Amino acid sequence: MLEHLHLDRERKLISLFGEPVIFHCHHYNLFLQQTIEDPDWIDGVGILRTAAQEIFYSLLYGAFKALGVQETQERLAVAAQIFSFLGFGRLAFEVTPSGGEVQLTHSHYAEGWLSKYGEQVSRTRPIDHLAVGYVAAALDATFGELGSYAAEETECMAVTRKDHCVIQATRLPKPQSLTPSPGMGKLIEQPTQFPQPVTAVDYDAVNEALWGLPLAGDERGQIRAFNVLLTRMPANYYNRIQYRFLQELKAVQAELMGVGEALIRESGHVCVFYTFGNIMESVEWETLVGPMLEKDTDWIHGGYAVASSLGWGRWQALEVVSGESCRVAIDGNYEANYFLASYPRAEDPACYFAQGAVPALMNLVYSGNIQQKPVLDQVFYNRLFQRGGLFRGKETKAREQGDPWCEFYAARVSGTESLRV
Amino acid sequence: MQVRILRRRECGAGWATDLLLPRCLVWSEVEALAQEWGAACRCFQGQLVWLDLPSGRITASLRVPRLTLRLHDADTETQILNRLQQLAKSADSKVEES
Repeated sequence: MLEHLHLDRERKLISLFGEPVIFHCHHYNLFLQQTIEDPDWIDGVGILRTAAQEIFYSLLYGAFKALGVQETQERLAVAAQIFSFLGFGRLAFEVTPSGGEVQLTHSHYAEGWLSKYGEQVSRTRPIDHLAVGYVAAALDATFGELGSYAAEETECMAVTRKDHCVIQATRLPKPQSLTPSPGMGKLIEQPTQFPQPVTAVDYDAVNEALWGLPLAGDERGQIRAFNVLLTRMPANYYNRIQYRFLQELKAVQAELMGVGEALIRESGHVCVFYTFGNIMESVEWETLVGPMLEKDTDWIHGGYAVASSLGWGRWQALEVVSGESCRVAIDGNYEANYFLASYPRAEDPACYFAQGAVPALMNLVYSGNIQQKPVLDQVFYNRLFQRGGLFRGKETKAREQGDPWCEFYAARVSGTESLRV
Repeated sequence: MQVRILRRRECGAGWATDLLLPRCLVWSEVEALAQEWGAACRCFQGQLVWLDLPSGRITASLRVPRLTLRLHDADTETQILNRLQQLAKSADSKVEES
């Protein structure tokens, strides 16, 4: 499948069969899913499953077309292959046009959850909402049209502690009305030429080194790199679940929107803490980026050089003041690309993930001292982020509001102070 | 000098073990170890090395004396650790002889 990835070097975007794909790890995936799944007053599981069905249908439809696969068995084999390639585990389809059973092994979400929480918590509800949506999408694309099938996880290894999960799929009497993915979304026409950052980090060299790594699911359907369980997720799955989650919260009660936004920002914080923390403690980082790190501010630039290698768009630190503040531009952020293709112009800045990620990187370097290789666990996270004097951030320019690019500012503030830009 | 275990970390469904080596490995050693362990060996940017075994991946570097084992088989991990210790000791004795 690696040969089917398309790299847009200028925009620093990666796509697979017309869908933008980006790297994130199991810590982020689990946190974001739990954020959406938890509130009882909205159908969080429905948001997750439906988004997976819609986005993966678009990806699989594009794959079948591009590869010219017509036969049922061939299509199901391609669907299973893509699922593993993206790092979600392994699927074995036993299905006919009326539906059937699918076995899931090495589930990214279930194994990830067991490794993080399995020893302390018993789970009673299935966890593989993405895989459920994927199975429905695979049958839609193989036998029908978008929305033709529904699926349900009837056995989940995070609950049963067995070595596999089971998903049942059935054909609906009439297809339900679902919305396909907007694909690459609204792209920037031409990359903006930002001033050269003052750093020893060569962004382009880091990009090329990381793009050259064949990061693909192994025989278990898992991507092992940078000390985490990685997934190459369609960006629009994240986009769709986060914006629908906020819409549903707003529909229940307008005041909940602010809480929802804060939770999505927190997911960005969690992502940077675990994903970037682990990246910065990995052999890959020490070997490929380490030689360019001369000053502490280079760690911030190194982080953004890596971020722009993950398919997230052109992330660049414009200015980093050691221990104090940073200003970061994102030209063609994956959140804004989706937002502009799906909604009218935003009333307020809406790149929530990036709003959390930018201060988080400063916290990781200047509050968490990642250079000293701390143990990145929940205890450390709580100790670090429940004290005062941390970095907070703001989106100061927003492409989704009409600015040419998105810009973020993060600075250290005391517990009661708000951020001054 | 010995191979030192820096840390064993949770890593998805398994564990990753970070090692500090007494010195950087050289390419001929990596190739020999790959052959001995039946591992598929890939080198990126002339610096970063992935050794893929049936039981998982070893990430090594030709630039820094670090190595990470991500294996699903504890016995294989022990054997590999022992082999790396031997390699470190034999390098020590060569230095003493010279």
